[in-house]
Formats: sequence, C-alpha cells, structure tokens
Amino acid sequence: MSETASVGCPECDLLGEVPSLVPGQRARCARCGYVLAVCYDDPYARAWSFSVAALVVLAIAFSFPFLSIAAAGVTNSMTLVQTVLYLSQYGADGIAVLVSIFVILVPVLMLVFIIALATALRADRFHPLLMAPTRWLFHLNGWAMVEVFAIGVIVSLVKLAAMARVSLGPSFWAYLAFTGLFLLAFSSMDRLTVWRDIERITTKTRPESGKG
Amino acid sequence: MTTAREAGFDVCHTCLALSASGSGHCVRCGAHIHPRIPDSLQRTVALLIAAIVLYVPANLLPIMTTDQFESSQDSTIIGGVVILWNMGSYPVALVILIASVLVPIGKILTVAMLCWTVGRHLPVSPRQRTTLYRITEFIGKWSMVDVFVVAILVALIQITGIIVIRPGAAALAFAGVVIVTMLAAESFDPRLLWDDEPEKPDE
Ligand SMILES: [Zn+2]
Ligand SMILES: [Zn+2]
Repeated sequence: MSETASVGCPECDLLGEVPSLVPGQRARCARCGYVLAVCYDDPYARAWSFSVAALVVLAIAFSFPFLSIAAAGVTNSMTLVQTVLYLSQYGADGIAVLVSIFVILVPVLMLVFIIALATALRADRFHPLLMAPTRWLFHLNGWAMVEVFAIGVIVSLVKLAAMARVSLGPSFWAYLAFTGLFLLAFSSMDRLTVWRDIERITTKTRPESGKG
Repeated sequence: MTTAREAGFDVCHTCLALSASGSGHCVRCGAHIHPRIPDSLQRTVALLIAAIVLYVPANLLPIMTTDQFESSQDSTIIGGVVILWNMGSYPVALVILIASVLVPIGKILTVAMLCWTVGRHLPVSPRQRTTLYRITEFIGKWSMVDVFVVAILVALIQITGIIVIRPGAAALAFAGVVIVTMLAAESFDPRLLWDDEPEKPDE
C-alpha cells in the first residue's frame, strides 16, 4: 500500500486513515480494534502460489483413500467422493449437498477466484468480469469449512479407534496440507490492498474506454 | 472521533470505501451498501427463533443409526457425547459437547442479548459487546463438526451384512441450526452497538 487511504470501519462506522504500511504491519480501527488492512510482501505472488499448491494437494486428496478401517477381517476405505455418495444413497441428500458446498465447492471457487485475481493484479491488469467474483470472494470466506472438516476427520478417527483398526490414507495428509494452504492463500488477499489496486488500475485505463 | 454517518457517508462492507450516504452502491466496488443493515434487529431475532425451533428436533431425533448384526441402534448428539465419555475419549467428548451443545446455545443467547441491549439502548460497553459479537462470528462454523463426523462415519462404516451406519434426521436439523445462527450473526449490524456512544474519544 503506497499512500494513506480514507476508510470507514465496517464494525463501528468510525472514519479512519490507513497509513502506508510495511510488510507484516496491520492497521486497526482506533475505536473498536477491527483489522482494516494487513500488508504482505508481494501479496499476489504469495496468494497465487498458495492457491495453486492448494488445488494440487486437493486433487491428490480426491484420488486416494482418506481413512481405511479393518474390522472382522474386512477392510473398507473412504474417499472424499464417497462421503457425498453414501449420504445421498441413504436419503440424506440435504447433508450431501451441504458437505459438497461447504467443504468442496466454496473453497475451490474461492481458490479459482484468487488465482484469476492474483494473476491479473500481478500483471497490473483488471477485467470488469472479475468485479463480481472479487466481491463474492470476501463474502464466501465465512462459509468455507475446510478446517472444520479436517477436525471432523480427526474426531471420527478417535471415535472408531476403540472398535476397529483405523489407518490414515495418503489423502488425509493431503487434505491437512490443503487446509493450511487454503487458509494462507485467502489471508494473503487483503481486501483494502486488493480493492485499492483495482481502483488504481481501472481509473488508469478508463480513458481508453475500460478495455481489459 | 467522527463516524461515517455523521460525515454523510456509508461504509462499504466489501472494500471499506466511503460513498455518499443513501447512494445504495459503493463507488469503488459496486456492492450494495446501507447506512445500517435494514431491519437488522427484526431479521436477527426471526433467525434466532428459527434456530431455537430447529434445535429441538436436532437434539431429540437420532443423528445416526448403526445397523449391526440384525440389530439397529439410534444415537443422538448427547448420546454420542456420553458414549465417547464412557469410552474414555475425554478430549473428543469435550470437542463434540462444546461444538454441538455449548456453542449453538451460547451463540443464540449471545446474539439475543446483543439485540436486547441495542433495542433497549442499554449502556453496556460497546467494546465488550463487540468482542462477544466477534467470538460468535468466529466460532459459528465450528458447530458443523458433528455433521461432518456423521458424513465421514457413514462413508467409512459400510461393511454390508456386518455393520452399516446411516445418517439420521437430526443431522440435517442440526446443520440447519448452524446455518441459521450463522445467518443471524451476519444479519446483526455491529455498528448498532456503537450508535449510542457519546461523541468523544474513550479512554
Ligand atoms: Zn471500528
Ligand atoms: Zn465497496
């Protein structure tokens, strides 16, 4: 962030000035302490790398068993896709849809938006079609439940440990890595930095009738 | 200390920009903006009531059913906690107890209390209430953990003829409680907590 920005605090409505920050610094609202901006070194390169890495490990998490269980001489293993398929097989379509949305769809959409936006802003470009996804990105965040699912896997493991031999598949570790990378990717996209860069790029290109 | 409202601006929740009050859309990002969320208290209270209604079947109905050797056994959320506790898995029993029982009830009570203090203009510290609001917002989605556990167990425990786990109706009702309380926290406008603050710097 280069110069001072006038902002309003979304949680207490106080007017504020966000000064130019150095990497690692954050600006808080003077009255309620809300974090108005966080500064990262080369945020778009950072967000891009974490997002791409997150999608790669998610692909791995999809391809292998998550957990496997051995009981009474029979082994069964569970994959991410099966969690959704079995739920709808037993008539719990609602739960199947919710799991797909919160654990897979929302996080993947967010990562795709981050990659598109970070690619554009890194090259100092912006396309008007990115406007709506950029707004959604900051609202979707509350509905991504990647880390909650990761804890769910660990709880299931403990629940079963008493009755059967449970072993962790490669996907479990891939999913844990996905959780960490996803959180790092989103946190790199500071909204004030992002929107001020968009504003700067679009006002610069406006005279040429806003071509992207 | 001047607020955006006093200066004639609406704050954008998406990009923090200031736009002329009443313009409806943010000058920078185009998001819908309001001086305050319209009917914030009424909407929040309506969603809280919906959450309380859903909380009843979520606890009375089985969250999952275990079919083992011809017999089948239902388990409720609380039943699951008791089984884990008896197994000696105290940390996990506590995780489920906190995530599935204490957090939803605590959230409903906290948001209801926030609405009540705002509606009555009670002189309760805005800073403390803001902290409570932030805690409810942060922990909201963690209550979903038990729903995910059911989803995982259903997929994993499928050894036909020996043991099968089926999801129960409470899972959807409970997911509903979590979603509705998250929506309630979202529809509550935290700026209302500060609106009665006198116009002087605190401390
Ligand atoms: Zn503030
Ligand atoms: Zn805006």
